[in-house]
Amino acid sequence: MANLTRRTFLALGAATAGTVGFYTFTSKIKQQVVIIGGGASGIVAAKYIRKADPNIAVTIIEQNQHYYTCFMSNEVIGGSRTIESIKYDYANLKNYDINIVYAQASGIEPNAKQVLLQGGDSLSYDRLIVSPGISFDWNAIDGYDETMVDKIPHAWQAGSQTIVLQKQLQAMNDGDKVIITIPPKPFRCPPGPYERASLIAQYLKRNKPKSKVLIFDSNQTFAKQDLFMQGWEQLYGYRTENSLLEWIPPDRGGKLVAVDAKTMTIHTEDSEHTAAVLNIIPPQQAGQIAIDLTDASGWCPINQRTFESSLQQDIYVIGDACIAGVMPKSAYSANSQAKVCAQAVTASLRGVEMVNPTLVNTCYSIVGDEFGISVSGVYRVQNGKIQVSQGASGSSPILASADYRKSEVAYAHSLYDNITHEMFD
Amino acid sequence: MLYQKYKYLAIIAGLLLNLSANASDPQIHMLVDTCIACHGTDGSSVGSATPNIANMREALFIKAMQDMKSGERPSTVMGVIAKGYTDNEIRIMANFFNQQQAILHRQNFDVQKAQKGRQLHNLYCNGCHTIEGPTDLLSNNLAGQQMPYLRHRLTEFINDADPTVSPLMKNALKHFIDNNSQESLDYLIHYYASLGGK
Ligand SMILES: Cc1cc2nc3c(=O)[nH]c(=O)nc-3n(C[C@H](O)[C@H](O)[C@H](O)COP(=O)(O)OP(=O)(O)OC[C@H]3O[C@@H](n4cnc5c(N)ncnc54)[C@H](O)[C@@H]3O)c2cc1C
Ligand code: HEC
Ligand code: HEC
Repeated sequence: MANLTRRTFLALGAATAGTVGFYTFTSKIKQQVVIIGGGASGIVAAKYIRKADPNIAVTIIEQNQHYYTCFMSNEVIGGSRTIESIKYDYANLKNYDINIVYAQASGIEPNAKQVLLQGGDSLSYDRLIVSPGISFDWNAIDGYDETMVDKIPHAWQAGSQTIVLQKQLQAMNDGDKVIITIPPKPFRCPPGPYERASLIAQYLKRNKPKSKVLIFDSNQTFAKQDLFMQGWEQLYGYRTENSLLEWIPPDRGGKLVAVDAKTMTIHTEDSEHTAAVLNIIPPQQAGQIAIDLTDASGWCPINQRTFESSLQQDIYVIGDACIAGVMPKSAYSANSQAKVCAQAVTASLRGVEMVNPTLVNTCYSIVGDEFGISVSGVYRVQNGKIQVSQGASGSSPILASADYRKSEVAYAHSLYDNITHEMFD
Repeated sequence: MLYQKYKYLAIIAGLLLNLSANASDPQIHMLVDTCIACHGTDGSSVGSATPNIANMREALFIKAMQDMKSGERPSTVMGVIAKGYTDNEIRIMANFFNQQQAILHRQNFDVQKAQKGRQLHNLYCNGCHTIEGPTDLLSNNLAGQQMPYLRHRLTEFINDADPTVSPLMKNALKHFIDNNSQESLDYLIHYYASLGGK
């Protein structure tokens, strides 16, 4: 605690009453790891560092009291899950002796090895892990910015935005249109927008069968495309006259150029379309706090073995914010990266060499309540880059029984229960 | 039957040869940590479909991974994931998960079915999948295994969809079906589920 400024000390003391005395006595020997962002990657890194070495003190800085998982939030939007079922809090972190400071980190001072908090406090670190997820490029789309999200939601960070979109779908009339626009890659959860379109189509099929969801895509191809389209054909009449869903790639005018919020109209390169519900997913970059750790791409380059920033010593970046070779930006990737980073940080504080990383990702997508698909990969560092290990990469087969598709929904929910258990229990 | 059991034992013993248990803690964790978000902490799943792998028999773990890796045993994601690990890494993980205590989570089961299942189990299955009594090294303790997974595996066995299943199991199942209705398999599933924890 000796390395906290006085005001922060008080704030932290209040948050961790009961353990303060313990830390005061041991502060001279404890090394401090600070983590910005208690999400899919940050919490897991915290737990695994504490597990590997209980002598390291870990503090998470998190701006929200509650965390809503983006994963499974499309089921909330489509009406097959409640918002409460994706809401979590940080109460159990105390069982791991992990400190949590509820504040927004407003700056990083790499030379002083300090994190500044909104309100003027600061925290010192021996190692800093930056895991803030994404932020949006609000200048990219003419006519759409953060002031409009209550009317035109992005719902690409879960919580209130998820509810806004869900309510709009419930309020619209049968026969109305829904438009989803998809930004250029890379973005959080590559199959996510298509899963969302699928589950909105499922909602329409059951409740508003004269309506339709239109996907305007800035990308010519997408993740698990053949599998999604098979599901769309089987479930939503895709490629028929009565299709509940239409996909418009850039070569057919899918690229979004501007939004007119007043008339609920989107403008593409050569046409305009009006809808009752607009879901604009803006282009993305690393979370705002990581801005000085990004390269021209807007994401954070890292040492692919350790997740240490290529730009700053003793600062590590994990989760959606980092550039992790060929790994997609997903919760499973974030979880796996956090565990590797925890080993790297622990090894670095002990002054030993870390072992060779192994990483895994699996992204399930729910195309319908009984139609699940997946893509998986195992990754290792080869030639300094995170790459697929021994050809271990692939998705669900295109030829599969109805039982197989159904079992993948059950396994997807099972993954969800286990990954959130690991984060919050 | 006895001959088959020894033949099977020989195959299984072969899988365990060259067991290298010399991995360091960080090396072991670098491998097994990648499985946890699907299979649960130390291999005990709170999710209701992914199989528990905590305390799995080492030889059966290796056999399962190798058979899914080669594609001989049907799977969804595991065929892809198993490919990413070497034989030696699979042995290291088998050893780790075998040593984990299975923490079984509560499942929804029918008490009456479970009671009938217990009797059937003791008659037909307990000889190998010993639940009360000394542990059998050749077959897994099915207590608390996830219901959908049990159902899925038994259906695979019945439909001859998994050519890698041991002849012991295949014969035992045939013997069971010859003397009972297929529906009574459901009682067994409810019995195993009833052995889950609080
Ligand atoms: C609709 C949708 C569906 C998805 N479905 C899946 C799926 O099925 N499977 C899957 O694997 N992935 C899925 N994802 C992706 C997954 O949600 C992300 O990849 C994952 O959350 C990334 O983890 P992270 O730790 O990088 O960021 P996050 O989980 O977003 O955590 C970042 C945390 O940092 C906090 N924070 C940010 N800045 C600051 C600051 N300055 N100060 C303090 N705190 C801060 C935030 O409040 C947040 O709690 C989906 C995403 C979406 C949008
Ligand atoms: C994306 C989720 C996921 C990940 C990651 C995953 N598994 Fe699995 N595992 C499953 C599923 C689902 C099954 C059932 C078979 C199938 O459909 O693939 C399974 C089955 C198994 C089985 C067979 C169990 C039995 O009783 O026969 C073993 C062993 C196993 N996994 C080990 C592992 C190991 C070791 C890892 C990490 C290297 C791992 N799994 C990672 C989902 C996963
Ligand atoms: C003669 C021994 C034997 C008997 C009796 C037996 N089994 Fe098995 N069983 C096995 C073996 C061995 C396996 C491992 C299969 C493999 O992977 O080769 C197995 C596998 C299984 C599995 C797959 C899950 C797992 O952990 O591998 C299930 C489910 C199962 N048995 C159920 C039953 C039921 C129900 C009965 C009683 C009707 C039964 N078994 C009777 C030997 C037996």
